Amino acid sequence: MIAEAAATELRLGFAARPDNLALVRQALAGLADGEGISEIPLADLKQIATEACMNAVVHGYPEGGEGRIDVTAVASPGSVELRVRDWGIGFRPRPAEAEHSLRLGLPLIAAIADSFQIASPADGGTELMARVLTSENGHSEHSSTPPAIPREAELAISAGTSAKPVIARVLAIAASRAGFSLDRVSDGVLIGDAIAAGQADDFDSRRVSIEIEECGPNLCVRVGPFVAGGASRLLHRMQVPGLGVSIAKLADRFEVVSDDVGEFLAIEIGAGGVARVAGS
Amino acid sequence: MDVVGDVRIEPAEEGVAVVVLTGEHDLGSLPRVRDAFDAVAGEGKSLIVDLCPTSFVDSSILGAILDARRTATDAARGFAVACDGSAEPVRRVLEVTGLGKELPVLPSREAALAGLGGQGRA
Repeated sequence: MIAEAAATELRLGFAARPDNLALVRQALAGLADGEGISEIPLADLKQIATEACMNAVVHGYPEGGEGRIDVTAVASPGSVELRVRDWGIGFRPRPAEAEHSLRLGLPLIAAIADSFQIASPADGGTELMARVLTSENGHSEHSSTPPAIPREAELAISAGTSAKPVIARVLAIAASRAGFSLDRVSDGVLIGDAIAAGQADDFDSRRVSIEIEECGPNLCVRVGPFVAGGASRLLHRMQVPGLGVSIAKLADRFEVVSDDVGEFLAIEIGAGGVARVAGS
Repeated sequence: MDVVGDVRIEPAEEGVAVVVLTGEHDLGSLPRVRDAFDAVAGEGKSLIVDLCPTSFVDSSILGAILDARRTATDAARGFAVACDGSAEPVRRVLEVTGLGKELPVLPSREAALAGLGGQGRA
């Protein structure tokens, strides 16, 4: 038989009353004793559990109403996953003046949990889940780099019927924001339609991805990445009689560019002028 | 293991009262904590909140401390918090919320009393 590093699960159910919050902390302290969890992660677990239970006591059930709170803590090697579940009215907006002193609770949880999320389960109530790392070097695991900040905005949508309206609307607002005239905004929409009409197989992961940025008075749109040859095929489809002619007239510039990520179509929509096709 | 939260008002210098929170404090003890703060304000005294013997506070208690500070400041009375950092949960929550710098928090009751010197005294 193979011995596994088993997780220890603690479950505590109690009536949603303020005087029961101390039970949760003592149960967690006992778990920490048994599992060899050190002082700082235990402090974090107590704080998160107390804040989450307090939210459930104060906001989970209609004023004066009785309710139940369930706390589950699963201690695995290196971390504890905490779940606090109520069965009340659910997570909903509250006017600030009704808050009293509880404004600190969720930000506090967010600050000390290594990860946390709030869910509204289908059968009602609210569930808060938080993970606290308990290993000595656990906190060094936060080393992943966040995605780069877009120069303006980037958008990806599965190729298909929704691509056209999504791209059209986003390009329209970008063009409006750049101070384009109504005619030029419409041109941007037509260009977006032509992009969205590309063959799904030509796009990497079958997603139409565009990056938008204002370049001087113009709007620069980078479409891609495409699979090898995909940008050229889209460009050629734009240039066939009908659609192709209109794109050639509407965009100031469009060209196929390649980098180590893949192939892209760079389109510049501006104050007008006859398009020149570069790099194709 | 001091887990039951106790609230005491202790006299200090003239015009100053110390509210001492012992053990753990949360929504369960919040009414008693607020009552103590209100009692000190009602006597027109400056307030020191002594968190040195406190082993846990939640955000409802922090909210009450912030309210007490506002009450004292509005009435031009002194206010300070004493916390020696010996209880990890208390030290950590003050640090994470930024209240350690904001309140102000001093490392002992004596330091907090001395810190009242520059503020309005009742």
